[in-house]
Amino acid sequence: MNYKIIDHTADLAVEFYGKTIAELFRNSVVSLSDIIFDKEINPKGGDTLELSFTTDNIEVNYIDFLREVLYNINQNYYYFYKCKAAFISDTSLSIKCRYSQFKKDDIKNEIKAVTYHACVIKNKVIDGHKMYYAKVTFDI
Amino acid sequence: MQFNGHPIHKISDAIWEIPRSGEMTVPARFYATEKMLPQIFKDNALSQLLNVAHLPGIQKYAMAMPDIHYGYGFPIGGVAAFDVDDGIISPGGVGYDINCGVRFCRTNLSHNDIKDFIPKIVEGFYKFVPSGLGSSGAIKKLNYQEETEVMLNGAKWAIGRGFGEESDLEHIENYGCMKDANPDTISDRARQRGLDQVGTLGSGNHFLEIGIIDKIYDEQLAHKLSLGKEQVIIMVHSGSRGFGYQVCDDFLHQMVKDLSTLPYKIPDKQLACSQFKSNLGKKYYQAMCCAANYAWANRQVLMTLAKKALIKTLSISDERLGFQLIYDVCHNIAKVEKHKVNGKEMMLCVHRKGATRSFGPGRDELSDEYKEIGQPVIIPGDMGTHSFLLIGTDKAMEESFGSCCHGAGRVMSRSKAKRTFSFQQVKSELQKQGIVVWSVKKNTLVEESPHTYKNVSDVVEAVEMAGLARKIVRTRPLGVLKG
Repeated sequence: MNYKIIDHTADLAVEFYGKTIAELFRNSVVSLSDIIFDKEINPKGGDTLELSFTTDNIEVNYIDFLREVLYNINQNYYYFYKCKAAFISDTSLSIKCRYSQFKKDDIKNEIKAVTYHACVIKNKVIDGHKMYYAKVTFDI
Repeated sequence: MQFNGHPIHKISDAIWEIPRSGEMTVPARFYATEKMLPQIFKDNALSQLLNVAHLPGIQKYAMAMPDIHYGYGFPIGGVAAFDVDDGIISPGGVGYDINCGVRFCRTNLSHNDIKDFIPKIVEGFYKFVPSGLGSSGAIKKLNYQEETEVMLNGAKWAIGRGFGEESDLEHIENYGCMKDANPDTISDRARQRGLDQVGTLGSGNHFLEIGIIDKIYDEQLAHKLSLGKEQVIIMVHSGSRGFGYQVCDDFLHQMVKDLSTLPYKIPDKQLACSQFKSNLGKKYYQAMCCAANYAWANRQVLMTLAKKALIKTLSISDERLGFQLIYDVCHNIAKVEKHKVNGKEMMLCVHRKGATRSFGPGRDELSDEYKEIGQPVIIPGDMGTHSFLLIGTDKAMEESFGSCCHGAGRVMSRSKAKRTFSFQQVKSELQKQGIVVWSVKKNTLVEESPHTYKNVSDVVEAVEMAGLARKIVRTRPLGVLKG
């Protein structure tokens, strides 16, 4: 399980998961595309968007990372279907996101913005495995 | 009575107060009848209201209207006023959809004139009004110069392009334009997102509705506004689209980065803010004004498209239709206004997030037509129930910085709505009530099912009991276009 949708009265809350911080960032990108686009879409080819972030003040940088991803989904209709994340130093993460460009009609669920509200990144034991999880609230 | 360990004091039958404690700058107040309290406690929105009560420079109370529900940062239905000299401005206190708002229009038509044509009318709306997520195309894509003019002139820009009449401006908050707009504060991303979305409804809870007045509470005021029973009305609900979202996102990001440099702690990063008079605070306010003007231009175009759809579908003349804007109110905004605090007049930056201005008579901001009676206040219900037109009061000026609720308020999450209801179920339930609905996406209709909202009559009752506005008429929906 890479993500789980949590009930939120007015908007959308999502928990993203990963065995490592790098995997958490990677799964968040692909999961966000999954939520927004119709899952039956079969992406292929495309290009790569490279992003890098530091993990000090990790919650804020993680949200800023999602802001960048969401901007590209909403403005350019990028479907991010594959992602490689690796630390290039102790606190610096490089993420290469493979995308296909779609049309706005392919968007099934619109997510308009990612918020900083109550964002947490923590360890959690899920199904007996120690995982990182991030809880994020989106404006829809 | 308590909420998360905080005592709740009953001030009157519709006003409740949580006293100041800990690091709170002011007490918190919320408006609701007793029967609404369990629902309000359930979704934890009061914890967000308590966070707002911590912000520096906040005056009197952190307030929430009876449609309060859980959001992010501020609760939806939140009102907070800050001293412009030593208080803050917060993009999260305005929201992403800057100047999301609603307008209410009258016509010369009666129920009998349209009752056999509702499906055709709603289809006409769909054909004339671009709707749905990322929709575009009402008017050709703007260039940067044209977009700058939208940012500077708001509704007036649209009127100059043939969308509506000069007299419409008298019936819009701020005459459809905030003068402090400064396009130099707008990022290239925001500009890009705004180029092709003027005149688009958008998705989510945005709508275009045709209905009739089914109850009159104040004959005198209704007569003054040329409103009568069975009369056909139109409501338009939309905002500043992707442009406003990007403005909020850009400045929230900058203010979050600056948080560590502030001399105070913020309980939630989504409440990130700057001193109103700081460089960043001023820039955000000017950018927010650009987005507010964009939203007014958008609603001005949408209203005119709806009018054109009616003329075409019913094959009637402009004169026969008698389309006239009654009022346009903002839901998500920060405005500099003069209010009395403890008997002293102060300039305040009033944040309304999911709340409506409700100015009583005599305010300089109102046009001549409304200076005598106060401003109209529009409270739409969900698509299966009534909506209300009210009038602002002197009591609102004393109590809530001239503010009131903005709608019914959600009670059920969109994901739960999708688990609970089907598209067919919602559509046929509305059909049984004689309401024709056209939704671009099936999901939207399910997410916006009438069961996902509070009973708007309860919300309006609370507002009236608290004296924040007074009912004029009630309307009933006949046809709705959802994005």
